This record gives sequence, C-alpha cells and structure tokens, in this order.
Amino acid sequence: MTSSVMSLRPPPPAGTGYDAAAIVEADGSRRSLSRPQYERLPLAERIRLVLSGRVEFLRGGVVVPPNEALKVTSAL
Amino acid sequence: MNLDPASLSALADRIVQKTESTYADFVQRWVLRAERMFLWLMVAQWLFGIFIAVTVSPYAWEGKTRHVSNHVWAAVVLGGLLSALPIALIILRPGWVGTRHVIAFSQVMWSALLIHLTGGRIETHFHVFGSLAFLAFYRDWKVLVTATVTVAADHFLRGLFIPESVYGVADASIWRFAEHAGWVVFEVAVLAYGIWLSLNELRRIAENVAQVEAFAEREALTAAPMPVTMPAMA
Repeated sequence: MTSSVMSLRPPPPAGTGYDAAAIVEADGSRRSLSRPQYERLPLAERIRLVLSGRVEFLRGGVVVPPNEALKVTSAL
Repeated sequence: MNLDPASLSALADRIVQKTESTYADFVQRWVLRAERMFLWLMVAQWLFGIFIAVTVSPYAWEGKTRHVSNHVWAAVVLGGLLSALPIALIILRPGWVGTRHVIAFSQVMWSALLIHLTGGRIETHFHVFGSLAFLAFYRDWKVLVTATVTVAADHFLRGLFIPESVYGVADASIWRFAEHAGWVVFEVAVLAYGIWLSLNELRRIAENVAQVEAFAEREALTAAPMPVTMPAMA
C-alpha cells in the first residue's frame, strides 16, 4: 500500500529501509500501513508494537528484519 | 517470550523517554556549536567594523577628508558593546535560551552598524541576509523572529530620523523599511521551513534508533537473539 500524499522526502536508497509495515492486531487480523502512515503512529505505540513482535517491516513486499528496515540512511 | 502488558508499557515508556532525551541532547549540541561559531564571528566583526570605519567611513560620509571620525569611535565602542555582551553570555551562559536571542539581536545590530559605517551603502544590507543564514545554524525559528523584529525596528527608526545612515539618502519614504523587512521575512520563511525539515529529520532518526533499541530489547528477552546493527547518529 502506498501513500497518496506527495512527500518531499527522497526515497531511501535501493536495498535499504522499508516501504510498508504490517501490524498484527489484538484479534489476529493484519493491518497494512504505508511507511508515512506507520511513522504517523505515536512513538510509544510503535515501540510497543516492536517490543511485542506485532509489526513486520516490508520492502517490495518482502519482510525485512527491524534492525535492517530501521537502519538510519540519512546523511544528517 | 512475551512481556506482560504492564512490563511492556513500562519498557516502552522508558525507551520513549530516552529518545526524547537523546533528541534534546542533539538539538542542544547544535545550539552549542552555533554559539562557538558566533563567539569567533563577534570578534571578527568587531575587527572588521574598525577596519571599515578607518578605511571607508570617512569617505563614505564626508567624501574628501580622511581622519579619525566619530564612525571609528562608533565601531570601537558601539561595536565592542555589540560583541561583548554576546561573547560574555556565550562564555557564562552557554545553551541558555536568552543567549541565542541576545546573539540574534547583536548580530543584526552589527548589520545595522556596518550599514551606518558605509553610509547606508545598499550592498552592505546583504550583511543582514548573511546574519540570518548564520542564525539559522541554531535551528530555532524563534531566533529568526527576534532578528526580523530588530531589523524592521532599526530600519523604521533610522529611516525616520537619520535616513542617510540606513539608505544613503537624506530623504527616504517612511515605508521603505517595509520593503526591506519584507525581503527579510521572505528569507526567514525559507530558513524556517528548512529548520522544520531538519528537526523532523532528526526526530525521525531518533525514533528509528528507539525502535531498533526496542527490537534489541525484545531479542535479548527471547531465546534466539539476532545481531543488531545500531546506527550511529553523529
């Protein structure tokens, strides 16, 4: 799923980061969010999702480990 | 192994607090770096102001004779005061909010002094835009507001009472300050947008690091830990 909102942020370099996140809800259902949608969730909620193992990060439809998906790619 | 909800919330809160602290530390590091830069800039401007007063001002204001004029004293005394207070605050109160606003005020007043010393030469007005760019290193838009208000007030008052000092002409429209202030506002708007983007990027990085840390915590609590790459934020 991709965001329909145009972003000024350049895409991450090929082979890094993630473009979507899949969240497993409490009832077992899965919810797919684009990266901007996932990043708009409160940080505490994202932390809880990671800690409880209820989020998967995807790049091109393929699951990537969180430490790879969240690797900082900015030149800041 | 799964954490119970209470432990999970406590751990999440701890990571969030640490993230906020890390973010604040990085912002403060920018502030201190900007202040170190202004320390040297204030000294350099003072020396430059004296140089301009000695070499340019007598011609700029009187056209024919070169002697130690009031402008030299203005550069030495007024310029010294303009630099002394920020330098004192940088040394005595580094990182304090008031320090950066005093610096913003002094920096654009340096622009005003240099404009005065060059007899209102229009090219010297570009110093204002350079000053704003330097102030943007703070990545605090409120500092730019202080500078903008100071520039507008200075142009308005000097335009009203001594227009030759700011515009180089004896008779200037009272509204000319608005045109100058408008360009300043334009640059400040662009710089503020850049600051906003920069802070957002820093927050995003801090949040990514926090999530990687959460992942590492989870892995440490499970039987089969995975290697974790912690990205550097420097």
